[in-house]
Amino acid sequence: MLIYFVIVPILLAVFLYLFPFERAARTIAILAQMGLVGASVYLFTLSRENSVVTAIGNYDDVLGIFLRADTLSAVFILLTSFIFFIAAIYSFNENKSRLFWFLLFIWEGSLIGIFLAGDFFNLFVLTEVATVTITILIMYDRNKRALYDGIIFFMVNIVVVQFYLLGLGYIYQLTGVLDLEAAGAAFQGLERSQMILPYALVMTFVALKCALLPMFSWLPKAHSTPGAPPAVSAVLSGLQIKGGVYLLIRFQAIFGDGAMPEFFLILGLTTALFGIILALVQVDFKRILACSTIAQIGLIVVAINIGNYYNYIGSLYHMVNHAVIKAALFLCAGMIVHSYGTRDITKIRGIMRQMPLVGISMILALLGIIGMPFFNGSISKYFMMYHVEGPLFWIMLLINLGTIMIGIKLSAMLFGRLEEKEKPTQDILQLISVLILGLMCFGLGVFGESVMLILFNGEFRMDWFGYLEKSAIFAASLVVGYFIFNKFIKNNPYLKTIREIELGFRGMCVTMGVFFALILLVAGI
Amino acid sequence: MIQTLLVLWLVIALLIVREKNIARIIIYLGIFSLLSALCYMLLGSPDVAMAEAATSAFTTIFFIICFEKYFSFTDAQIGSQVIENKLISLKTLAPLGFVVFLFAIFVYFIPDASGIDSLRNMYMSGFMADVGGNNAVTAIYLGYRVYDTLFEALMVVISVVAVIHLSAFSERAPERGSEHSEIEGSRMAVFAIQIICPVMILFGVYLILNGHLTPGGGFQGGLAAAAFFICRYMIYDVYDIPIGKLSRLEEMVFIGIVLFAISVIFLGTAAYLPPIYLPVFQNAYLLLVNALIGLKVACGFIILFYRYIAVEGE
Amino acid sequence: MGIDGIKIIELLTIAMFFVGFYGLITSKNIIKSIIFVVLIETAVIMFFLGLGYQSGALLPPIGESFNNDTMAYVSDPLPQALMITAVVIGLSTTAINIVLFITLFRKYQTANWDIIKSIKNLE
Repeated sequence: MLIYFVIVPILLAVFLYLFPFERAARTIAILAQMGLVGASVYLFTLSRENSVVTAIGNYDDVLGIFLRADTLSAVFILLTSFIFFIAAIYSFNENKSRLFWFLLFIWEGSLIGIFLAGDFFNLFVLTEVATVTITILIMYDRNKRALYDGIIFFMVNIVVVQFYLLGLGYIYQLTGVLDLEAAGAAFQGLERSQMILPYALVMTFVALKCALLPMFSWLPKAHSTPGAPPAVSAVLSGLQIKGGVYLLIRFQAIFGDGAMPEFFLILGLTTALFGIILALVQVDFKRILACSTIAQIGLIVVAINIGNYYNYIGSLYHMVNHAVIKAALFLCAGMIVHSYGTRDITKIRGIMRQMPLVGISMILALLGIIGMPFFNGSISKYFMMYHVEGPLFWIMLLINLGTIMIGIKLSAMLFGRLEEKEKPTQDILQLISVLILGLMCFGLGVFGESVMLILFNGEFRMDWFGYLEKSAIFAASLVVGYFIFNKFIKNNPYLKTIREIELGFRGMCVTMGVFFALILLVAGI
Repeated sequence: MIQTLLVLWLVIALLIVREKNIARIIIYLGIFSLLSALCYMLLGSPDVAMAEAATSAFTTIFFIICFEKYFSFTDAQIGSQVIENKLISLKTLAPLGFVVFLFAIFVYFIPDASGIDSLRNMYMSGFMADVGGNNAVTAIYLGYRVYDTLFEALMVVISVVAVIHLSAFSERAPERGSEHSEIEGSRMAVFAIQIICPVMILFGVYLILNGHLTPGGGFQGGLAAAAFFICRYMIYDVYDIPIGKLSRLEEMVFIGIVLFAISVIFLGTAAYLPPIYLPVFQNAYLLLVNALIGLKVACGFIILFYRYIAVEGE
Repeated sequence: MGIDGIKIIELLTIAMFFVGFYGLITSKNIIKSIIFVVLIETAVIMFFLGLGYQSGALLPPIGESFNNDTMAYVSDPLPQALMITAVVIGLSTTAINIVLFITLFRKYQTANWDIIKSIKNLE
């Protein structure tokens, strides 16, 4: 049954590409997305009891390919179909080209395929398909900047996937299988020294997909290209990067003893701090959002690797929240940039006056990401920092402080007034999609506990006293953040020099090598 | 034998690293692919060797078109910026040291693995009953792991769409039914191509139809058949390929492949058949899928080739 | 580790991988970068096909006349099937890569990574 979740979007993509009536094709696309959301809800209810497994072709043992959906995959598939549904609504009137819808559906199919895949090589094929689709989508209007960003994104991903293939070769040599579960079982019987090389090779690939520390340079380029349609940036930043984190979770589990959670914990922390700094120095609206994604992914990777169940679940919930928040912010950014004609946040003022509904959903999303009590970010951050103590707690607090400062920086756009402009005409479907996401930021916070209960099937009690304490900490951080931001960061000339630093393609290849050497050496010691 | 070839292979790669003239690099790349195909053959994998041979022909042609369109081969702008002239300087030694260091730690950490070949024995003893045919590689490619093959076919579709989209700024107007202008001054080339052409298309069809029995298959055969059109272009210099229609045909064939594979493999249709018809059914399945893939790949690469040709320079 | 057959093939393919990697790090020319990606892909394919070399498994996995004695000399069909897929994907990505380069070259009029980067920053 699982196969249809992958095949149907892809078949539909090709069918719609050939379909002669353009408006009807888009309507069919929206309906199909809706159907897919329904189907993934159904899959989710199934997977809550037992993980759903499909053996393609019913061959014996591990000869064929398996697709598996446990709760983790099912949650991600639900999220994927939902975010793509919103993106499709948003793009309904904006992108009339067949090519866009073709690529969007293929992208969705390959992403769902990644979440379902039970086979190492299958993951390789699907990531390649996703890479190519994303490349075409981000250089959609073929302007100068987008072409450069696109070719860098494409070539970096093509190169790093070769590391993964080599690692796959060693895994096949060591275990004799390509199936994820069977390989995991076979790794139990291996010594740790045998796993070092395949682990390093595979993790180089995964860390690049998650944009961890030395290898994040491609992300701001790819996620904030001027020419890319807003829906593409939203899905890229909200979902695609989660594919990398999903692989991280899976591979850490498969390698068992060979995995190095402490290494990734430290890496996640440094990545988050770097992301904060990068986001604070930018002036480009979409680029700030992209850099903030780096920071949030760093935070998520930290919480996954603490090794505590509550932190792990908190990070999963934060991934869901972050997807909703980032999709909302990127879609808002698309509308704002479209109506103001600039991406420079110092030139955008008075959004609340110009486009009140967009402003409201942007406020909701911003409150979500900075962790305002009763918004979704606060719940997931509460669980991510659950029983974390010592220096780690303070660093995580610092990261949250940075996120608050980013929020303050962005909120300056909402108020104030620019010279009088006539009210822009807004597309009703785009408004609806943005509002849905904004309200979800609130809803996922107020009903956070029960949503987590439904999604992850466990007992989550929030300690209300602890939550109050966290709220107090939040209020204090808000004040401190406001103070630091206005005093030190706003109009700081030194920070502008950081903005200029940028790695080219060769530099990114070097970082790949550096990361690979680092992980090998750390594992060897 | 194979070690010698591989050392030669590595030497050619090093030559590519040192070389500044792009035309020579492309020729080296051709030799490199030839050596790789030979090594694949010696390592007991004729299918991959054939795929590599067909692929390398196309890669070389793409690179040559790319250059012919945009640079003269001795373009100083391209040639001078490759590597610094001084052999020993920090700029050349630092990356060299880095890469040697990476290689050293890589080799240091190579695990000692005793090859586990249970999966191979299972495939070799079971493929004829499970999938049919005579070629275990085709059996895996189109039977056990047909799910991967679908995405691979999808990849060709996307790359065709991508190339059409990205190169869509100024298309040379197709010169329909233009005069057959033979290449001046190379009668010999034309003569040779005229002899090769029919053989080529015959070979392609043979590879497609015998993919499940002998080395070869849809992809290799499709590429060989597409090469026929490249030869045809070389002789006659015509642009009478209806790219739009061909691309639509390719996508329809892709839908056909997916639906067919789903209905046979994923639904396990073979289980409902009386055992006596099973071998016939399996052979028919392999033949048909190979034929469809061959058709699709041929369409795809004809489009790619003509698209590359038609992109107009500034 | 001993210097026997498999290790030599393995070492040579990995050396090839890093030769390609060296090229990626040093070459400023986009076309050369694309060619080095092709080299790396070839190295990986050779690595996969060389997995069975140590045991002398070099017979093509075609035909039915394999008994338990000769089975040990048949090369593993699985890496071969995987590598056909990898070859096709490699060809598609190379085709896209070249057309990306052509489009890029039309806009920037240069094939140098560094110059393109500086041009982009000027705007």
